[in-house]
Amino acid sequence: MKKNLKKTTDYEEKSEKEHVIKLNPKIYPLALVFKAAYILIDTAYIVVDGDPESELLVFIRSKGDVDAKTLAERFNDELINFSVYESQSKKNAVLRQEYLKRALLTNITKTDDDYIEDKEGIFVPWEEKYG
Amino acid sequence: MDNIQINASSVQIMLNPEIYNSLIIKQAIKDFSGVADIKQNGKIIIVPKEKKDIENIGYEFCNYLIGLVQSGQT
Repeated sequence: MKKNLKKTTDYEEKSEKEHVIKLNPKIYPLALVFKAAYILIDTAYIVVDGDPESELLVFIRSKGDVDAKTLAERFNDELINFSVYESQSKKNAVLRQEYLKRALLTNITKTDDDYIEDKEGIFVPWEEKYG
Repeated sequence: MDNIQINASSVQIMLNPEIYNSLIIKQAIKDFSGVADIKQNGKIIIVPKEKKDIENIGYEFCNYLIGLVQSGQT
């Protein structure tokens, strides 16, 4: 288990304020990395580097008092959150579409052609009415 | 961070074009033009208009790029 973990995510502490996370892009794609990074931009400075095909490097630098290791762990949590969300969303895509179809269909109601009441005979042409 | 070098009056940023596309970088340069003079020739060289910004402007630029990538602005 530990061996596998090291292949997907690897930490390297540069200083108390800086941390580098190495990620396997086949497990955490670039789009997912950016989503997780976006969550942290209020508390950290983040730069993504590396090779999108083989290894992504995420540099995290703390903005305030929070140490970089804590931020790196939070980043990892966000990565897991987003990857679970993505996989669940893929799984439920068909079901979601069916719900949407059903919801749209229930709003379609049958209407009669002669639903307008013409009590005063306004819609009757002049020729028909008076010859 | 190895990608960001802070000098006396400027900041140099080296970004991977496979990760940050050029349109997003151009948009960020345009948006930062009010607070800094920015040149791009392989590297991005930022000269802030106020010297007190020099410590953080490079990092803020990188965070801004992440924001642009997320909002899908090109």
